[in-house]
Amino acid sequence: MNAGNVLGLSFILFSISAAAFITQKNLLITLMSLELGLNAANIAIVSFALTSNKSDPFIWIFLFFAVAAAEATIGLSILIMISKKFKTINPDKISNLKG
Amino acid sequence: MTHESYNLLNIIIAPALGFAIISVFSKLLKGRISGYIASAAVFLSFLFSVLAFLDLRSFGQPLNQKLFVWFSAGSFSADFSLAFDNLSAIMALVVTFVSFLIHIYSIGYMDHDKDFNRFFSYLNLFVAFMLVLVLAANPILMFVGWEGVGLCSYLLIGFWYENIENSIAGKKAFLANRVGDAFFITGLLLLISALSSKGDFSLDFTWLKENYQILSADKFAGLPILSVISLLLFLGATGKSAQFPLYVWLPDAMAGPTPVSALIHAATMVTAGVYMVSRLFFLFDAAPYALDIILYTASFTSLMAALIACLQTDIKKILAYSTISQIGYMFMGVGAGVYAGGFFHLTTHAFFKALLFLAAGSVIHALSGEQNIFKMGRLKDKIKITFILTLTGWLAICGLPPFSGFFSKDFIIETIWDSGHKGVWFFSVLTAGITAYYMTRLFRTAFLGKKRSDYHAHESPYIMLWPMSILAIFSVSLGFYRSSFLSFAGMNFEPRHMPALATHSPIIAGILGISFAFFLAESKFSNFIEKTFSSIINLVKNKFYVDEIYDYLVIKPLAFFSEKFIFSLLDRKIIDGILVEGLAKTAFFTGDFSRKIQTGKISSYAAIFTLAATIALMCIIFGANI
Amino acid sequence: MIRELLFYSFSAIMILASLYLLFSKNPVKAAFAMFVVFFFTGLIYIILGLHFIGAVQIIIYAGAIMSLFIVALPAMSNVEDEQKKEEGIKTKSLFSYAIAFMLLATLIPLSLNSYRVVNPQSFNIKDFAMVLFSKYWLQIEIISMILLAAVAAAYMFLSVREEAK
Repeated sequence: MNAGNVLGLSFILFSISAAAFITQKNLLITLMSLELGLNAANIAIVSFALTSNKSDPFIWIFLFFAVAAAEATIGLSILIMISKKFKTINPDKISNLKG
Repeated sequence: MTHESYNLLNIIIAPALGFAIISVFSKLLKGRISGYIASAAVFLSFLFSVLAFLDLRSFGQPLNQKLFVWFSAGSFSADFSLAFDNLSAIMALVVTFVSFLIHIYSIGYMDHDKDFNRFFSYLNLFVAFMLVLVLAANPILMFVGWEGVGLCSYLLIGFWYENIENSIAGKKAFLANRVGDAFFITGLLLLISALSSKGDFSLDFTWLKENYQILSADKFAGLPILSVISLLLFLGATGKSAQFPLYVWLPDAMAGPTPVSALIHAATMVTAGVYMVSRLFFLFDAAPYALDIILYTASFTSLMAALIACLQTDIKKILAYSTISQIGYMFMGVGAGVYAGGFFHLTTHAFFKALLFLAAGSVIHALSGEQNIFKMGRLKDKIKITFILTLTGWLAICGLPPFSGFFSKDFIIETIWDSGHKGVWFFSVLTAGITAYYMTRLFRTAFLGKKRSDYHAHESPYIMLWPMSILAIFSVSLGFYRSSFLSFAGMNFEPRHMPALATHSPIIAGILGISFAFFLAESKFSNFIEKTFSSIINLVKNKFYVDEIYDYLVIKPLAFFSEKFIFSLLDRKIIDGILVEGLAKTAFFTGDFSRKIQTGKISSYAAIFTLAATIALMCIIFGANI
Repeated sequence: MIRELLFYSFSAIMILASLYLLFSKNPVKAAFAMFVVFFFTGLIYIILGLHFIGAVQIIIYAGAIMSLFIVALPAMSNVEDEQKKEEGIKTKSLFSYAIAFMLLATLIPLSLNSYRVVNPQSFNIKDFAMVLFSKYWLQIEIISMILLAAVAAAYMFLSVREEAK
């Protein structure tokens, strides 16, 4: 069992999260994929933490937790506001920036 | 040289200034004022030429004046410099004097024309360019004048441009000139490239005269380069001086007003070719075969033009073909090795041909526009002074002593005999006889005999008669100055030892021609000749179909090529379609395509973002240099 | 040995769940999938010997953040219904999957190159706390600021009344 496996898991999860972000038709699920992505990044840091002697990587993991939580909060608030304004959470329909 | 020479630029500036003033103030100049201004300008030019001539005589050496450097490339530079030596002195004096007389004449001739001012501005411009050509010290500046007179010829031939025929004639003249110019330029370029391979050089005529031998051994495509250059330059001269094969524009050029024909197409522009060849005579002399080619071409042209003139009915066309024939004589003089003889004939011809053209203009003016000699007849009773003047010109051109034409033409024919080309000599004598024949035919038909149609004739005003009289005086008296002229032009006249028959044959031919013309006035014999030689007569009447041959061989393929290929394909499809429209369409479609990237959807933006990030990662991870 | 087996099975479940999230259209079901991923991530951390971090993962991610999402679900009730029509695989989505696959392909070689063995007993809570509250004190304060800002922002966003039209 080596850190490479954990890192690979992290990469796979991250790619899937990116794919979900690009293709999802439901904005809420898009946000969920963002959280997944952050989680995947977390796993990557864990893999580095497992192979190092210092305690620093573990601390970064904690900071990531906090950041992810804050980001989820803000993201959801904005999402609720969008849903109130545009009456839809299909990102394809919110194309006011269309040129 | 340190001699403070006379300012040669004045000679050119006077008519150029005249052109500028008349064309700028054209609306303000009413009546005949522009005519007086133009004539005064040319007279000033003549005065300056006389002063320069006196300066030349006292100084003894050619005068030079370098104005400014026009352009330079490497060690070679083309200067705007004027030179005044014996040859250019003669040309300048003749050109300015004859131009002055014709300007005075034109005041009367063009009196009722609505484009009076424009005519004189063009005339002055022409004189200015001609003087640039004459006074140029190097061939490049001469070419400027060369092209300039071609331009003015076009402008003046197509002067009454409302009639499309005149414009077509002007266009034909310009194009034929242009072809000649192309040959001239090619020859010049060849000369420059050959010289540049030998080291430092300058294009001044004096430098060339001293140093041209360095090219004697060079070859171009297997032929001696001097011969190739000379041939190309001569072809350029044929365009300007209306020799075979580029003479076809001169008869058509008679569509212009008669003073134009007198000035440009008798006395000055058409002699530019002879002048150029005389200037570069050392080049032609050193080149094998060059002088022979000139001689043969000129004699062929001379004979052919004389034959065509025999059957023309338009008075100006007869004189046009006569000009072609006489210029052939000048070139024959050059080709025989004595260019001074050709030059002397140039001078006498300028006077009597200008006289003849002005007289023809007087006749046309008298008859209110009639140009067909078979509609004239018995004019000697109606327009007596014109009749006497025309008589003078006629006798001069027929080569009868003591008129000037005899002295000049005779000298050339003797020179040809001396050079050993007996066949050419025979043809030149034959041409002299034919010349006498057709000129007599013209004279007889128009002035003598009985009235051939119903016309009203009135004598021309004095303003037209005075210049003609002065020209007539010169036509009579110039011959006696032959020896001083020839020595001034650079050659000494030596009495020749020739068989008596050879010496007198030109006069005999002349008298034979005149009498044959009078004899043929009897209708029975002329009818007989017409019947037996009808096919030949038809051929000659149609000018040997040269125009038709050109049309078929050159013009039709060119027009077809330019219409189908250049116009339809190149111009329409490629340039308009692909380049211009294609450029616009490319911009349009690129914009249209790029517009679609802005979808406004988050997902597509995110996709592109991810893509870019992936590529960046790729570069970092796989070590590529961004 | 067991550890490896558990790790691979847990990771397989996680990947399946995230794939489900990728293709689902129902936010509720996607939320469940997300919960699975978070929970099993925590379990993996525990397997690897990081008990503390695993616990914190489950508490914060599977607990707090999931709750956020669950609470947000009914807040979008005024949304019009999604189209039930099943669309085929379009070129655009294929292109997107290709991009994601490219990303994966770029990153995988990194993971294949690391051969460091994992040391399960490497986490020491005492050392961790010492470093956290001494060296990373500033970051802790900043984190608290961020969280405060997030709360305030969330409150501000959601308390905006709709203007009367």
